[in-house]
Amino acid sequence: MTETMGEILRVALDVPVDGVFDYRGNGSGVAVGQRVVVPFGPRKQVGIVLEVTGSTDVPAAKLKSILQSFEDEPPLDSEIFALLKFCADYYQYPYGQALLSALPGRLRQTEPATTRKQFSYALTPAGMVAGVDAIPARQAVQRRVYAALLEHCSLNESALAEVSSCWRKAINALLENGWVKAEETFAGLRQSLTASSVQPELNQEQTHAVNAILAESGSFKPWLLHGITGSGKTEVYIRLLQAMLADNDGQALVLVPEINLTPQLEARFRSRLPEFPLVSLHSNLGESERLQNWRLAQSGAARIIIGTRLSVFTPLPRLRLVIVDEEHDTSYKQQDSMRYHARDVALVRAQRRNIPILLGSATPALETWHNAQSGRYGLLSMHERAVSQSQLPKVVCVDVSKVELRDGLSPHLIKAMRERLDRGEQSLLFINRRGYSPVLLCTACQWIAPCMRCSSRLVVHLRQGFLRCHHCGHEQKIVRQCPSCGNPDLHPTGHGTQRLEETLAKLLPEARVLRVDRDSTRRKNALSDMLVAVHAGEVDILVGTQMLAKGHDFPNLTLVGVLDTDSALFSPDFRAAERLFAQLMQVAGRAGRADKPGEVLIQTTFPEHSLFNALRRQDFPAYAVSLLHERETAQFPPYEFLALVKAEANDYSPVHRFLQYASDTARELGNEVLVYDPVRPQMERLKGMERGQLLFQANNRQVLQVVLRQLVPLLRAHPLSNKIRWALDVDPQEF
Amino acid sequence: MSFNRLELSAELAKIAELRYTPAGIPVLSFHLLHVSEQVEAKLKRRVECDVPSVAMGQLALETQTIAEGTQVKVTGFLAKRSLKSAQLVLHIQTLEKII
Repeated sequence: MTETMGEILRVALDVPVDGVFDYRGNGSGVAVGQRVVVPFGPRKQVGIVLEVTGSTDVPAAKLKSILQSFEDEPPLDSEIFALLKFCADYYQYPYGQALLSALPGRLRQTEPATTRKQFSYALTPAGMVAGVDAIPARQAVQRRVYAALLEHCSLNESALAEVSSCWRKAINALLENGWVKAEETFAGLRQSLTASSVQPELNQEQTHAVNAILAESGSFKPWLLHGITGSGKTEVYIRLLQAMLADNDGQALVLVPEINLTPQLEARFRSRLPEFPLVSLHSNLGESERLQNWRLAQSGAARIIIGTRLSVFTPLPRLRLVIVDEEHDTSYKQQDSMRYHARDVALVRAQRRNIPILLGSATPALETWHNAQSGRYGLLSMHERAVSQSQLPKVVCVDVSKVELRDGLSPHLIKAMRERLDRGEQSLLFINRRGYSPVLLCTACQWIAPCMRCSSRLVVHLRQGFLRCHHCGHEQKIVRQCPSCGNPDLHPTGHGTQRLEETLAKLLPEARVLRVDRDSTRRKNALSDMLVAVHAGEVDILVGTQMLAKGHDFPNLTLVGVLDTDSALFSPDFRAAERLFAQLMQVAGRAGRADKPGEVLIQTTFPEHSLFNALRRQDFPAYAVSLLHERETAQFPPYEFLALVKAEANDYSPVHRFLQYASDTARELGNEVLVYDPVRPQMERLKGMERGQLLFQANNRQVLQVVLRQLVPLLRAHPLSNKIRWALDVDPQEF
Repeated sequence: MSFNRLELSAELAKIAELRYTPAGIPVLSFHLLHVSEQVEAKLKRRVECDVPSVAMGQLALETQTIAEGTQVKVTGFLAKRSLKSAQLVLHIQTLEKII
């Protein structure tokens, strides 16, 4: 039954149901892509208008009207609709939820989304005439602000904040005198006073990379920029942005893996590319700032957008180039709601826009490397370090089964640190375990402090006197005695960053040691303060987790010590070796970045392992060949395509029944997809939930998609679907 | 009823550095050097032993202030050093100086 009843709006809502919802438009004049507030059950919901039409299948009596519309807001463009529709289909996620979750938080609320007004300031003719001497000498800040305005004509709030932290008071005084006028601006477009236009000379490989991409910059082409650490990938990005954004109004999207890395890259881009308005988008921004930056991108006013994975869905009407830095990084994969991979989405986006996309990495994901080898992506290799004097670090393995360790440190490593200390150089100890020690052990009965909610052990945080679960966040006081036998003399066993810090204080009392891990950087700006201290030479030895592995450049750092990595060599995850190699290459890249040669000491029980052999030669391509061979033999990605149903509940039996149903049903849907049996993951219990998973495998993406498309609606309709928590992960990264 | 009680007079020796359990209980390890004359098979004989010992809590702090070489009288119980060890350690329950 189809009725005609005036303007009908087809609206996407953030509800876990596949499909869209029809409402009466009530002559609001709202357009496709704009937001409306609609009644949904007992609640109000924000929705996006997907279509304005004249008819609906919903009976007139049941058709509700929209409550509110925001026709003044800029509408979402159809490219974003299409991209999110594609993702919703590919990742088997409800379209409405996919669409709404790609918006900044403010746009998901039922209030009109406004942003705080910001102003930029300039001297008035009266102010120009008055001269700086008309300001009393006591008003030092006013004088500084005046001088800065005189020099730069017009400054916005962030630039003034660089002049003085109490600029607002000074500006208000100057406004009162009529010497300064204010003009409303976009807040996200920061100016910087410290622009530098020094262009470093490109080496041959860099020049080749830039030219190759520019030669085909007019259409879709994926490029893999494989450059060893310190080979100057960022400089290639900068040159590309310069060349591709000049003389047009195009935009570029630069994806970075971690929030921590955005300020660094942002600062470098701002100083080198001051002519292009730049905004950043990541989840650490305040809601208001995020909305503002998002709108600047949407309007085309922002030319360069730096962001973490979520920014891949930002509307960019004039997108010309996409760059994915550290493309192998696992943080590009979203681990809840719609489990998309930002690199893959970026590739799809570039293809749909017919623009080039550049993936940069020193240790590309094997999927990407495989595509580059087979010729699907253009491969650009950079084997030389950009600073010509700097050499690759020497990698040495210390066989810890043959030497006596002092609190986890081999004599070689201690000696090497002492040498750096004497020479006034810096060392970094890399250990991927925060806390004091990973285990609290009772030697009288072998009891180990377990987490009651997870299949994990509690980590000792000695100084705070707490035991913590690093999986669920559970925290408790350190027990006074063993709950099993009563022995009070419990032993923290194994090494974490805190214990290493304590050991170094004992072994090298004159060294200034700084620990950098999630615990020590919890305070806002703590990490950037620490990095400043490192650059200022106020630190001799850094002890850190993988936080320190990425991106940071420490010119005076010449030694990297790697502790306790052997467990990753035996991980059941088939990607463990690939990741360990990437991580160690990255950590090793911290040593000897400037003119001083670097050294990397890896403490291991298996110095002859092929991974370490490849690392010693810094030879990613050779190691990739052997890993790809393994993957091909074992039928793992990139030769096969995977999907994983993850399910959990308070009790395992419904989880198992649900997964068994999924497994049986999928098998009936065809025999081209290999359907495994439900199994428990390595972490059987997490946060009090009993977990299970079911793996699907196929040698073709489409075949897998066909089965999933039929299976997911059946799973959603299953009676247990609402009683347990479950999700489908297409192209899973974690098992 | 089970018993585990040892009474010993001995010289305090090899006092280790005071340490703390993760929960903050002080632990002091030391040795007790015992020399005495005992009767065995109705015959008098000389006995010497070196007993690894440990004191915890307030007792650890008090024992720490006593000089090595001091004669003490202790009571305590015996326990294995660890699950897989055959070695016994005397855990001190009372300790007083012999003047």
